[in-house]
Amino acid sequence: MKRKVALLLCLALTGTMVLGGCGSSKGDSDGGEKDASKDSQKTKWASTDETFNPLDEKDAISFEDLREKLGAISKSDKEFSFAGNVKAFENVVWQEIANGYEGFADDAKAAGRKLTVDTTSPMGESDEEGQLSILKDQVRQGVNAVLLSPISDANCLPGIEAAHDADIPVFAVNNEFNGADMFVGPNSLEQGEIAAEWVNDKIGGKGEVAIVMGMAKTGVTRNRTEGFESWFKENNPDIEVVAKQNADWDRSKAKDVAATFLKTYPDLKAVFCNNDVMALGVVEAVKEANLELNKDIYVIGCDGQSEAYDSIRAGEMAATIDSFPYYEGYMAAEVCYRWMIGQDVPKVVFTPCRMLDSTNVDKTAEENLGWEAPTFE
Amino acid sequence: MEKLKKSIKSYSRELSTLLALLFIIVIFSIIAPRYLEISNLMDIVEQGTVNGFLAIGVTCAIITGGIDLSVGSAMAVSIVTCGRLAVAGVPPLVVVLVGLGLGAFIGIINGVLVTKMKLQPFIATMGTNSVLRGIAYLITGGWPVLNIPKEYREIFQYSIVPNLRMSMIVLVLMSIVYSFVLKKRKTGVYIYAIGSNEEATKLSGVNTDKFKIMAYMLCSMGAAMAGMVTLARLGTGEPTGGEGYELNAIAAAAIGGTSLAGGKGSILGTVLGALILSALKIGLVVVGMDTFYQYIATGLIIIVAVYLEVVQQKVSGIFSKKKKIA
Repeated sequence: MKRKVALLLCLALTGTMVLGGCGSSKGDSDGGEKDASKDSQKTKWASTDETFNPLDEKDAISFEDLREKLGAISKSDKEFSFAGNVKAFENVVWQEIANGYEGFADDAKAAGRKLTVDTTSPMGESDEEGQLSILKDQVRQGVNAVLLSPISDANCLPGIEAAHDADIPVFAVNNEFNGADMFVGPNSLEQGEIAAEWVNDKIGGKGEVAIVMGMAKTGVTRNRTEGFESWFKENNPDIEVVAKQNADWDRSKAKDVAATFLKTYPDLKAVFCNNDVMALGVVEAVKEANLELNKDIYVIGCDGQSEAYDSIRAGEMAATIDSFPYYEGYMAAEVCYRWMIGQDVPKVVFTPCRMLDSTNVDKTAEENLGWEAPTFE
Repeated sequence: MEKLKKSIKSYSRELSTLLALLFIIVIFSIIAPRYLEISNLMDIVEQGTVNGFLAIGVTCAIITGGIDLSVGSAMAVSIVTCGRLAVAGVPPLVVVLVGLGLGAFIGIINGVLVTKMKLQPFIATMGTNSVLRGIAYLITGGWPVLNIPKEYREIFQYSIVPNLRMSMIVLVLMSIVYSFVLKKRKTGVYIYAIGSNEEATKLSGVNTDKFKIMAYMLCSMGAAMAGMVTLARLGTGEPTGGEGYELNAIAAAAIGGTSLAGGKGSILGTVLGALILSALKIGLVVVGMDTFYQYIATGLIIIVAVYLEVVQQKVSGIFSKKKKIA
């Protein structure tokens, strides 16, 4: 009996291997010798006691404006090693952001700069303790800066304090947190506004719309929803947000919520979802309700995942707000590098987002963003 | 007549769950009359099916006095495995059979951990939960499985008459089979007996390990089915599917009268429990209740529903005592 069980186990494992593709592999970079001289520009670190909200920051600047203001990346022969610490490699978005860090490091190296970036992630978005251990370990290794995207508002706090005690700045990428010395990432309020403006044009400035929200605990949910709602309140009260419900970022739950929306509000013209996965679930509900996508009703997502791209090409999802995770990572690394070599970077830098629909979904990210590689002095 | 009375009595717990369900439907219909439309009522069933499959499975594990926290991840493994097979062109019915086999296999592992290795079910299935989630990610490399063929989706999504989907029929069939096994077969008798008093059952010469393993097998097969239905509903197989669904399944079982102490519970009650949860969720959406209040409302209803059982037991206890005196 036992032998049989063992045999079955082996079979199952091999089966898994055969079926499974391989996970992501991450390019490794050598540690690099640390430059002991700390940048003299900032000696005081952000306090973890003060609430930091990038949207409240007055001298926040968009990435495009920042490049225009600062011009080329100024000369420096200092040697840096950055540590990336992202939420979860299970999520493709975070793999892309990490690739973006590497992308900038490669370009910097090609321009003769001494920069290495090494990115790690905990075991999924519920491994809050694991992320803290990684952060503390990165601090112990003595990196020059940490690019951090914490799972929750508070899970990395002790590590952030430890970094500051060791004179290591901690930069927030994509997700803000208290104690961040700088924030680089998309403006999630603006994402909601962009979506609202697009919907307004599409449905001719009149009608009922609904929102499918993500988990209530994250700021992204609040901001994207609020941006969408407030745009209509300020610009066009003829469009009414008749329903908004939480679907926990879950495709199946989003489908269920939307099915009820469609029955309760038969005149619904558009559904804005806080992310693409939920939008794809809503698309299924619309199909089942025998409504015509992009004619009777528009479904809009957020994030710009590849599955959303395919759905837009197939004429199902109407649009997504893409924050171009690879370039977001690239820009974050660039901005942090500029900060480290002493260029005058404000505390908040918003990375660009674009509305992607059938008209521009087949263009490259570079075209949609109007991307240009940075210049080095 | 006597027979009818007897059967009503033996189903009294299910009847009260049914009354609770009707009560919820009446309340929401008064607030929002469109709640009572046939298509909406059928939505309650449709949206309760996935949880229903999970819950009838988990009921089997709970009746033995155990628990299975791995059903959400078992569901994910079933989603991605069946998704890959369906995309590879394997005939849909074969995919379903493989899925069920996979569920049975996962259940046997859980059962062996709990019986032969004597691990606490809570901890053992917490462990397999993590292992299975990892396997689900590995199978797809973290990406979703796209473009599930229509032939596969149709097995569960096909509507016989409008609003009546195959998935609902499959749930009814599976519930009947599970009920039959639990109530009419020796296996079921022993599963209940193990939950009531494992030592006594063992001492009377029953191979308790064998029947416990069977209970966990039934449990994971329910989860596998939930995964296959989800795959058909969404047309995409995500390795993240079913995350956190185990708690809803356990809640459905508890509302339906399954005692977490073991030895008590029924498939019919659990299905009604799952329907109560989806009736509630849809009701709160239809009346447009704010998300934050929904968490509170859902929690309160679970507490009230389970408390009703406590009250009912007391009441029926009083009645039976009176009878004896008379």
